[in-house]
Amino acid sequence: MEDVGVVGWAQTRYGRALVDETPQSLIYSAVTGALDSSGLSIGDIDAVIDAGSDFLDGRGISSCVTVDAMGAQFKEESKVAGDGLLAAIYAYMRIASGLFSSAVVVAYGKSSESSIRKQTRTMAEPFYLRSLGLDALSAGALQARSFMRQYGIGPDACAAVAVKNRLAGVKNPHAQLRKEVTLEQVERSPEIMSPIRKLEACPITDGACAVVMAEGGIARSISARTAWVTGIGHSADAYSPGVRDLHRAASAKRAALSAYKMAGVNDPLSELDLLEVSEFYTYQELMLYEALGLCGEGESADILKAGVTGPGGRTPVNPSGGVLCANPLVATGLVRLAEASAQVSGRAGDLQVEGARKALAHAGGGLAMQTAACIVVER
Amino acid sequence: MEIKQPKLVCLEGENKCPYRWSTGEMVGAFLTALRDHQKIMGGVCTGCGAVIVPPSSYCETCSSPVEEMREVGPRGVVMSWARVPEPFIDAPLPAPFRYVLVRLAGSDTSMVHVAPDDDNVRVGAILIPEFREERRGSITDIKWFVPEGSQGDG
Repeated sequence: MEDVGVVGWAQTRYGRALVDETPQSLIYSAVTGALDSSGLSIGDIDAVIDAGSDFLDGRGISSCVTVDAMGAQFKEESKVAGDGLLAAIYAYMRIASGLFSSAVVVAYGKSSESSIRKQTRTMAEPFYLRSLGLDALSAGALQARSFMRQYGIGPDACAAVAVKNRLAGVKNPHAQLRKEVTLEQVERSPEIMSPIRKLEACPITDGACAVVMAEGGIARSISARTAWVTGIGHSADAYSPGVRDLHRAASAKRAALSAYKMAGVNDPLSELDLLEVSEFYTYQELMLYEALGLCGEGESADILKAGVTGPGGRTPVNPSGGVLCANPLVATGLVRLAEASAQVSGRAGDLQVEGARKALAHAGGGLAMQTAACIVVER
Repeated sequence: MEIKQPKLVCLEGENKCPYRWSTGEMVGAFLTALRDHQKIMGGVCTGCGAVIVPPSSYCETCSSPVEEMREVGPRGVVMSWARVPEPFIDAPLPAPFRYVLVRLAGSDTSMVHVAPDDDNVRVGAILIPEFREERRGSITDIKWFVPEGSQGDG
């Protein structure tokens, strides 16, 4: 199997409604930015894997329209229906197989152009859930209460995740929200779907992200500071929320175990230098501490409180500020890979975790974290 | 020519498309029982024996076929709930109301449904379904689940 490295990445600016951008213009600037940062040009690239949402775009098979903006004309182009991190896993497999030597991965979304809550309702099948109006937020709220009840997690622990991540986001030049919030502000923000409060939910974000991946020979020839992909995993739980153990992020656990096994990670808490995870709501970051192996069952609030996952902690989680500071669906998880790659290659600027060598990027998908994808990158 | 910021920056539009979704046998039998008999039917998994409510033709846990149906409930226990403070388009009820995950007596899974915004709708509380007078073969033929005496603790 070929070595595969992440050799370039770029994020566009993010905003609540970028009315001066189209999906194509966002894709174009992310792809050209990522290529520039890699030192490769589009002519060097074999494959383009993209992630977009036909529902958000309001058109079918949307990659037919965006193929030129991605630089994918007359290349092997393929689209995944899911987060951009899954697209990165597909690109990894193509290069690892030896059939391809390099790939551009791009994901984008303009959530502002439609109603995001109405769009997430289309994830619900028509008979049992959609007729009830269930969407990502209400499914998340049911999961939040299941989790909090199961382990006696208080609302203050969830609110503290927002405080931690919003503070981290202040230093992130890409973040959409760059203003810190206090515990009191979070706890006093309105309940948009109890137990979830306004400041505990991700913002609505327009934007795009791209990464460039290449096989070992190319990666070594263009840069001495590649983020090597050493582990991948993805997993899907049952669809129906009422069939699952809703208080556990079981698919994230499976995805992480696969990635850890491949990367030879036995104790993520001591071996990973940081994690970038997809927390669409505060409670999800706590659930992910358990699922991704940073703590035992029911211990997530304790490690947060002890500062283990905070800035300067043993294993910082979301030093970029995470999804609570910008949520460019469906690029959200790919952004985690861009941030993790920047960290382990020592190019994270103001966000740099000192001495970072190994990191995990996580993406979540579906209602109440039904699916997950994980990638381990290291220097 | 220099491109100036255009006046038209957004084009309004809407995607609307009617659907006619086939229920399949198992979902169809469940919805028919709601409509015609005001009964809630679960599916019995031929593999793990779990009673699945609402049912599908295969078991989401062990992938075995689900062939037999069995009546469950009508009482159920609240496993989780979420309060909806504001109205939204296509909502099943006027706001405020609550989403509930309710485990019906005799069922091994929980069902998503709705309940009044009543403080007695708590985890552990017992709820009973209230059927609509006019039923059309939809999960919303159950208007909502309402508290029945016994109260939960959180």
